[in-house]
Amino acid sequence: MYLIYSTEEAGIERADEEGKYHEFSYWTEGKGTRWLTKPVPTADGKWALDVSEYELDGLEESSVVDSYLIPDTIEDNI
Amino acid sequence: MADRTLTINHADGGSETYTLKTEDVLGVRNMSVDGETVTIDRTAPDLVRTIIADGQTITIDTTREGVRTLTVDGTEITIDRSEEANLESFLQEFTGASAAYSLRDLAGSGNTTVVRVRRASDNSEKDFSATDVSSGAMTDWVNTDVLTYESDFSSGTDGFLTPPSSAPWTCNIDSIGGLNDNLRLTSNYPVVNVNTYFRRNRTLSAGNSYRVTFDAYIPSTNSEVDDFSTVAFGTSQVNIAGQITLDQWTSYDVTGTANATALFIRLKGNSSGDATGDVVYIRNVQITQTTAHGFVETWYDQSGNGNDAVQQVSGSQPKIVDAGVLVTGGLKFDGVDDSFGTSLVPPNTVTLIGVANWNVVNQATFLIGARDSTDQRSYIGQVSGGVTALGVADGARAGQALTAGTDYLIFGKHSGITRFISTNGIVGSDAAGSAPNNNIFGYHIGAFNDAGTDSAFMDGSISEIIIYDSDQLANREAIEANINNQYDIY
Repeated sequence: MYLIYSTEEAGIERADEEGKYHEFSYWTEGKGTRWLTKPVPTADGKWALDVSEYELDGLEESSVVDSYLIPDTIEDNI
Repeated sequence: MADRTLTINHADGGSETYTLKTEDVLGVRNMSVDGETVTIDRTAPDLVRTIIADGQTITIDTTREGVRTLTVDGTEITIDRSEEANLESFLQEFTGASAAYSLRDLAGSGNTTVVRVRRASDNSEKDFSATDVSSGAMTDWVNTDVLTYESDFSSGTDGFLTPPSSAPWTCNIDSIGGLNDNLRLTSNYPVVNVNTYFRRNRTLSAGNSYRVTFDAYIPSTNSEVDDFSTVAFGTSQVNIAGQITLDQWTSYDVTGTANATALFIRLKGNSSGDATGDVVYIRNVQITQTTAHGFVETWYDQSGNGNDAVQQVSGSQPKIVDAGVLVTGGLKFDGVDDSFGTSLVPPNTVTLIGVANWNVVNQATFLIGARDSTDQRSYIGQVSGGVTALGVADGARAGQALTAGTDYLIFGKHSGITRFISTNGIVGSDAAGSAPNNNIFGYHIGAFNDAGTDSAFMDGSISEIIIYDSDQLANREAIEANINNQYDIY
């Protein structure tokens, strides 16, 4: 399940909120683990945040999508 | 290092002389034969491998940590290794590394910090030295008992679920036996079945062990329900029948290993009455996690250059402790999204050294790699065809065939004009190449940083990664000998 954001900053803000909820070290000690997941770019210029393990509110639950468009990468012979 | 001479002087004035053929790294400080002390010139530390004199053979048994015993024609010689900490380390002997990652002390300080570990039971984090890892102290810390749940039924069911509509129970709060703030289940169904339970979802971590304690009260006025049957850690059930005393609060203390995330406390009937209206109470539910997964947030660079490998996303951190047990073979990468990021951009001339063990072969999965664009590769790993490979500017230089579940030592080097790969000491021919000319994207460990997007995720374990921004071909055999001596790869 994913939430789609227009900007990376908006996605990071939601990821930060979840990271604080889990009391990750970054938020308690100032270093270390910060996020449960973090937003990744989509093919249409937006940002997808994997919220499968997040505590969602009602509005978010109605906004989740099952998939997003993955951007083209350098998928030649690596 | 030139060969050394070992002389054993006997009490009767006689002596024996041996030639010691030496190699670098580990060393012998002194020996005793039949109670006599034998002094060895140890102006530089070396590893004694074989001693040969007049047809005699001294057999030396070694482990990863060095020489343990010697025998001379069947007579054991003891070795004092108390000065082992003073021996020359990998990075002291092979200087100039740009970055070095391992769970062993490559720097040789004796207390080198090698990893920052996150304990999954409560997300605490802590730095650990190589000694902490090898001694078990890190694993013990990961497995520290953590109280992961303590019930509070003062204002609700505190996450315990009302069973499905078809089930016979309803949750509520009540007072019984002189105590308040209890969780009560009242049957609205005549028989006890598999859905007769207290249940709390997303409470356990699969694979880990727990201790569950709670108090329970069952009144003797019940017609059918008169006991508990099991505590289920997921579907892993522990029998608790026969412990209840009716009309009294009875304490339970149950341990088990979870195979899923839900906790169940199941009830039991006596098959003699109608359960409709029967009640059961619980309180003081405490869940203590006694083993945990440990994940690495930072794999520290031991070279002194600060190129630490970091993963701040919890779900993408490689595992070092799996359900309470130290992972074998270094760090375990899941092949899905586990990786570390570094800020070390691939130099045009680089030596990449790594030790890895793949779960699956015949796919592109890398120990370390990055590129800014198409023909700017720099990596070591495996590629399609199930062979080791060195990624160079315009393609891949194939090495040796791989077998899943086997350790491999890969030594790769590319420069502006040449490329080279050795797998377990088996050398591929040096061939012409061109410079990758990267400027932006840093190496990722356990994946390929493909211009900002990770791919080729490592499915297996990585024990060690060492990077030089120089051509280390002249030291290749000595480097491989050192690493092979550590890991017994081939």
